[in-house]
Amino acid sequence: MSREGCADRAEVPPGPDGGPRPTRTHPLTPLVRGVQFGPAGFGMGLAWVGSAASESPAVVAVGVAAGVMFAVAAAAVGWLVWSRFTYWFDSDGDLRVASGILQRRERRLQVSRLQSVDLTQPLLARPFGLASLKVEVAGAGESHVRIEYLRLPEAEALRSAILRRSESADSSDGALVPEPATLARVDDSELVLSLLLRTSTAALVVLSVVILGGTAISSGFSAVPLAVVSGGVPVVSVVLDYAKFHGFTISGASDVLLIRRGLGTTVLDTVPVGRIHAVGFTESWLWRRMGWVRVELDVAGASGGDDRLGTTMLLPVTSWSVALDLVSLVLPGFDLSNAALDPVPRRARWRAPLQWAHLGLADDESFAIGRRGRITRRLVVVPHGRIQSVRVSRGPLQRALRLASLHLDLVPGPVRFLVPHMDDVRARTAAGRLADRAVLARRTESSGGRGRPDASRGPGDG
Amino acid sequence: MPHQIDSVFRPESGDWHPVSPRLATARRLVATMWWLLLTLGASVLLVGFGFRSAGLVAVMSGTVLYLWSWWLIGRRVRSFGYQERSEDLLVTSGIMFRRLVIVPYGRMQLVDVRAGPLDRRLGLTTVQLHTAAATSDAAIPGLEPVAAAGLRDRLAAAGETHSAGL
Repeated sequence: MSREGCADRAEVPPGPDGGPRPTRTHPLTPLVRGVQFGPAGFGMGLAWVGSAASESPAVVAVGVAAGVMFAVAAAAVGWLVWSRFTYWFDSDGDLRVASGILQRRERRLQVSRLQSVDLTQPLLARPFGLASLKVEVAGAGESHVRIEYLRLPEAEALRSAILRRSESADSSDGALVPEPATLARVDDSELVLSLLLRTSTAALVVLSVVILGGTAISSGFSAVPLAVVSGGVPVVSVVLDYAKFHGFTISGASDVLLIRRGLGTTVLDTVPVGRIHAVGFTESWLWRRMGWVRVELDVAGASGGDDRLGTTMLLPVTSWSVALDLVSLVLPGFDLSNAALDPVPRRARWRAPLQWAHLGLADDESFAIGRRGRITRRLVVVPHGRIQSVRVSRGPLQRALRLASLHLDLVPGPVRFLVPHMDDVRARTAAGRLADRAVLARRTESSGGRGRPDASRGPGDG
Repeated sequence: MPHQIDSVFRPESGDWHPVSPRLATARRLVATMWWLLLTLGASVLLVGFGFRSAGLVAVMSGTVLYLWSWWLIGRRVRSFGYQERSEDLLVTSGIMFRRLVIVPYGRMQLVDVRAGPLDRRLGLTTVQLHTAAATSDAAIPGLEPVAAAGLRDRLAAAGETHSAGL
């Protein structure tokens, strides 16, 4: 593959026209790498000496000499590996890595295909203030390279240099353009508060307090383990999600969004706008007071078990105005204020006493909009051209009340389109209308209307 | 049952194309097998170990369940229907939980034609449409092999002319 040209060059050419020259990693690298084998080697040697104690001193001396020679040889190899490992940016701005003692190998990591840059500090490297950098580009197989070890500030500088280059390379096929505009950023305190105010987190924390309070009166501290579990689970999930979404920043041009996020390991996600099939707004119960909303996407080819395939989180938390601004960029022509939601009939309250007043469907020439949920409110927007199939379903209770649910089938992802408990005749009419619009939207799109020919090709296309 | 309610699950024009009544035969055969195996087997065991009244109740309830499923299978098979339209395919099924699926031809990714050993003996075939969505469940069981092959070919041709990718 072209992205990692391998060459058996004896010498690493310096960067042309005074460009950055090949750089070695930190000289302590072989030591840090070797230290992890130290205890095992020492233990093995000791065990051998112990078992050979009854032998003549000459045998022991030979054994110890062999062990020392082996250690020296290993150290020499380690030093050689380090001394022949270099990295630099080439004239195209791509990252090159050369390595190998006898068999030289030079790899080129195309930063425009960058998937993630992970900075880690292993336990053994920490006392030396060293860090390891893992650079991953999109592609099957061995698509990552590890640069270790660098001083922490150096590693951070290299990481931001790679990210900067990838951003400028990504927006228009390698041509250097000014940094793409930052479209939205998630405030750190807002993120923490929003994670704490998730319905499940808040409910579990309140539950733990109730358990503790209730049992403290009756039976002392016997419920502490239970409260630790019920209170600890949400805390862990908050911490994990905080690490995942820390510093969430979206930037990008018209056809690709870049999402930078992560604490410790910085992840760079790319979202091809042309492959977005649905947008879902989710409002948790306690978020509504703050006017917050979470925005998720169904992206063709992004879901399928493997987290590396792509991201579906557009914004973990934001205000409605920011969310709507961003979504109108992603779905040109989308305007929620124009959408008049058709509510479900009053008799639906017998089937769905909580959420019936919040259910509704709206559709114009371009989008279908569905709303559902009472405690957690969900609003889903689907461009007609993305509808895969239309479904109407009716259970026994719905039948007695002359109600039916309308589903739009979408590519796999976190967003589902469903308007439950509509008037059954209206649901049926809407299904026919949406199926017609799905066909029509597709036709105008493929005849050059709003089509994005290259970006909309999926891996599953026949 | 009041038929005007089910107008919701009728095509806008024309009638549903029904599936073969032999599908009911196939499903009843399977139900009979289970009934014989489970109910009778379990009862024999119970009687053999001396729980006579329990065995009797098991046999009776098993038989009632079996007769009910016999009747239900007939209705369920009659509830299946499909209609090929110019732009899309409609599939309906179900009694208690009724559903209607509309699949535009342009969204079809592949058409599955399959028949199990019992199906083949009875001359039955299932045609299933797949889209990029995992949730679009458009399976038509109990088609005559010739009808299934014809449907598959027409769907494939329609998919080709309407195809527009993802």
